[in-house]
Amino acid sequence: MFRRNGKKGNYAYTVARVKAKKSLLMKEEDYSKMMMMTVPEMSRYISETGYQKEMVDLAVRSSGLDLLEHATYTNMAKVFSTILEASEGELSDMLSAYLAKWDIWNMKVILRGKSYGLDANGIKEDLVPAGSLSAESLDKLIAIDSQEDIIAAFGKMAHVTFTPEVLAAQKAGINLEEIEDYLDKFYYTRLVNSVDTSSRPSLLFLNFVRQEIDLENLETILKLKVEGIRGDAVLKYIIPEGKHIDMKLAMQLANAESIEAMIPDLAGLDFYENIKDALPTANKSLLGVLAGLKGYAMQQAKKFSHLYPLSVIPVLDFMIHKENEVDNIRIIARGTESGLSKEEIKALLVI
Amino acid sequence: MAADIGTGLIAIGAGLAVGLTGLGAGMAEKDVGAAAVGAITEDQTLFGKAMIFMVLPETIVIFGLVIAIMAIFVM
Amino acid sequence: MSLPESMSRIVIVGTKSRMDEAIEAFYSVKALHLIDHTTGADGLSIGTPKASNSKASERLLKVKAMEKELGINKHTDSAKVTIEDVKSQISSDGVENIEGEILSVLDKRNDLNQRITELNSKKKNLELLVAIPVELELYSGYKSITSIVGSISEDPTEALKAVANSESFISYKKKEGGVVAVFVKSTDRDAVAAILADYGFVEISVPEGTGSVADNLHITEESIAALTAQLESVEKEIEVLRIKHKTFLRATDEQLSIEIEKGEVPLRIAVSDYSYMLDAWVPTKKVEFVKTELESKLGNDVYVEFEETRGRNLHEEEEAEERFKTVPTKQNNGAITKEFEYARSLVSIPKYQEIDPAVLIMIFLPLFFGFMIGDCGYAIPFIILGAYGLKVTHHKDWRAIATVLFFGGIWSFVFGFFFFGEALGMHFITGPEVILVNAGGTSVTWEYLLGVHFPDWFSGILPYGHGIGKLDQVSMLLKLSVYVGIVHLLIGYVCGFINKRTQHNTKVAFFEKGGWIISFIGMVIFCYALTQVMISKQDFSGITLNLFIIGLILLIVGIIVNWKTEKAQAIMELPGIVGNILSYTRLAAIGMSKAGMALAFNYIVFGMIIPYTAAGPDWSAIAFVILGILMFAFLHLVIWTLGILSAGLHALRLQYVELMTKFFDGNGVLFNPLKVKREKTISVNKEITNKEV
Repeated sequence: MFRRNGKKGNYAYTVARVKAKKSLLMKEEDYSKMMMMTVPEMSRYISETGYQKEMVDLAVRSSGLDLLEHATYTNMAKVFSTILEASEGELSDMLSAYLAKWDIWNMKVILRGKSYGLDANGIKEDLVPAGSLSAESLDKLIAIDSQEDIIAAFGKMAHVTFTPEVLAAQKAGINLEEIEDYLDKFYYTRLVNSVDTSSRPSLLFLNFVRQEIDLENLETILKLKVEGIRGDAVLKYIIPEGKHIDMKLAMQLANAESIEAMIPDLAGLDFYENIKDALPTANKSLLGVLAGLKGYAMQQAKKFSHLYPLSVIPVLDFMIHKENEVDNIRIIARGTESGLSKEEIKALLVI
Repeated sequence: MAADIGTGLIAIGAGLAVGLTGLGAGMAEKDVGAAAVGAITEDQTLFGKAMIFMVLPETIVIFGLVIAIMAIFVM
Repeated sequence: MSLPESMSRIVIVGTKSRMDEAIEAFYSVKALHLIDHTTGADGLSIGTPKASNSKASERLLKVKAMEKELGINKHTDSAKVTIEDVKSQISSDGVENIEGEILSVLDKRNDLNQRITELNSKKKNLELLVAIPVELELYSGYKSITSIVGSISEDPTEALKAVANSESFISYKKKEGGVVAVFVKSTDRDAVAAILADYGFVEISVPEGTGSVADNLHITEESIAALTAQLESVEKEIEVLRIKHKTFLRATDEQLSIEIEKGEVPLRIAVSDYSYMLDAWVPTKKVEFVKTELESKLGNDVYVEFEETRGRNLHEEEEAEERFKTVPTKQNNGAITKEFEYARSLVSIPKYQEIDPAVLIMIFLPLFFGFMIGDCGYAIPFIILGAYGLKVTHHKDWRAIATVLFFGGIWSFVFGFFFFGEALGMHFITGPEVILVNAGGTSVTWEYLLGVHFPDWFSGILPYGHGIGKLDQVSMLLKLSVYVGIVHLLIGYVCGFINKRTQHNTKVAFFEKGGWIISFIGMVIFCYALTQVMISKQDFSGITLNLFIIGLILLIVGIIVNWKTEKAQAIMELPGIVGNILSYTRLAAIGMSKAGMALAFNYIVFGMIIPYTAAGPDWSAIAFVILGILMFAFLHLVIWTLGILSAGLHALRLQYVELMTKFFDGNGVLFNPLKVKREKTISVNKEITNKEV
């Protein structure tokens, strides 16, 4: 896949652009200021730091939290698409393969939205049309009524194949998690398999993706553990090809009695430092652990983008940071709206 | 202009000195230039800095020029 | 060569109940550069925005959105409104009131646009289907038969014959492609689709309807026309709205932005339950003014304390608390230099402790530009264009370019007239060695063209009696460029020395920059001696030998002095000095390239197009003369345009790369005091004074 047009990527150009963009991302002071604001103030504040166009486009129709959420996601999609357009050759191939994760995200949003009975506008607010499916294609998906047809249409558009078991489970009306996990697994498996292991730039990329798979897997295991599910029931959700967590380790983790019992196995892993403080409270709330994992992913991306300045990693590093910025803004906005205290909000932010 | 082979060789040498260093500088500037344009696209205030980095490899050509001048005038 | 203005730090403490008033007062003195409070310092947290900000933000977003939809931007011409007017309109829900009105029209427009798009795609499909003689209702509505319709790029007639029980309609033209409609059993659908796929088949959806395709197409076209007409009237409505509301929207935008900015000040300062506290930089000469002004406005509810006046020495900065380290730079430049600040700011803002290179840029940028152009003919349009630009434009990019063009043009005229003695690539005077076109040469001069003889005093003021030929005295021009470069670079090194002296002391300056000055001078003398021997073939004795030795000694002394701070760099950077100096040969080279082009173009016009006799050009061949003059104008316009780019950029580059890297660190922060800039709103008092005038 990555030899499709056989051209070397334009790393210098894309990376320089991305680094310039990264320097304009929000800093800690911005977040602390935003915590003092109401949602409309926040919307206006971020409209002066790069979200202007989206804010102005959308402010006619919506306001408040809806506006902020819609604008931040639209902006993120726009930024990612701009980067993809700016890149060429193998870099572009890698990025578009990576950005396919937003197709999966959008599909999940649509399915969830439909099952909660949201209207088209409600669903659209959470879409991030940064993947291969354009906003128009997504509109078409939203317009479809039955879940089955949506899945079929999506499979056709995004070239995703569904196994009969998944389709059967969906038909049987079991919860959406089944199909969501399948989509994640499908995305990562396809991504890993599509990487051309003979070229150095794409090996770096593969390494990065496999690390992401680790974090994804750990998240799955922990979520299920909190729900009291363990053993083989967990294993079927595990995405193979993780960097540190191979199938054997995954099995051990999955079989552990409790989260505490996982600690010895986890202690040897790179990211243990980032999550060890949050692990004891993980039974109550996973948010701390998840924030820790996200922080680890960001650290790693930063480290590798320094090590390999002319590779795909700085671009991915920026994408992670941008996504995090948008998440942070939304966390602050939702937190403020629902009356959380500053300390509570701050604990949820990844800075 | 009556020229012998020696003069011709000197001329060729001088040409090569400038030409090849120019090629080298061009190759070096390719990436710097791409990066500079990328950075300026995002943030126009970087123009001056980008320009400074952009022309750094040019020094190579100037050394080529020195060699060429020496070849022509000294030899 | 001035340092930025001296700055002092003050602390202002006041009672929270009068904070809004205080903020107004801060804005009115126009001299407070706020130092953002970081939560954690002093255990005080930042404040919350003014309560009215939330509503104002919401309104501002709406206003901006409406402005965008109506196509109003900051260049839109709109009347000025008094602040009180705008305020009362805003508080009486003026924004919300027009929102509905504007939204309904916008909805109409969107709706129409969408319908037109839909109809257009229907029209496209119908246009394809016109070629097939099947009525629309016949395409669907069967129990077991289905239709496959689409466009094709190759003719599938043969292949479709293999499908049993099917009826196909094909219209195909070799170059344009075609359309196919196949009616088959529903069960055979996939098989047919597979066959067609090989012929570049793209399925189209058959529009619903009855009757012939042509009729439908006609109807569709009519409704598109009707909708387009409606759209036009809606656009007119929007235009009406635009004119009706532009003044209000622009004024509201400005007023709300200012209100919000003021309301957000608490986010930048420390606020406790009953008081607020802020740190700010103030120009030293304004400290007293600020103090009295604030105290007179706020009385006992404010306390202003003078903290420090920051010196230029860096040890003061190191000792300061983190957020007080950087002092904002308030540039201290004259009117002309100010125009060159932008060119400098493209690299960076000078630090508080360093010389602003804008002055040097002001001197050398136009000088170099002028030298490279060096032609009266090109200079005059430069001067006119530059002067015009300076008069009309306020955009900083264009202003910067206009400034360079204007001053550069003047220099260019000076050089072109008194030094090169030429205009449009032609010398005024026919020199003794010049071989004119009518004598079998390639040169053209103004004397030859106009058939006159310029007075002798004129040629008396020109070097060599006819001016320097850019392509004749090459080595002289190259040498001149190098000497200019040496002076330019030396200024750079000296500025570096001065900077280090202000920032530290003479000793540090000597070891950090003094060594470079010695090395540089040594290198210059050394290379001069070398070129004397190697190129001018002088004997290696006498003055040359002495120079050689002096140069070498200076070089070594320079390296030794440098060694302490630069280590091996002291030696490795030495060839860089030569590189830097030779880099200035571009001054001559660019001029030469222009002269070369001009020579060729002039020869084309006067040697090849316009006929000539022994006495001069023959102006009687009207057709050739007109053609020649047109060519002449066009070709010189090319050179002139290229001149802006090449001379401009290279002159700039010599400042950025060769000069400024010798002493300029940058990374300063611009002095940005609290103040508001009103363009569309004015206070009542002002309006009255305006009327009186």
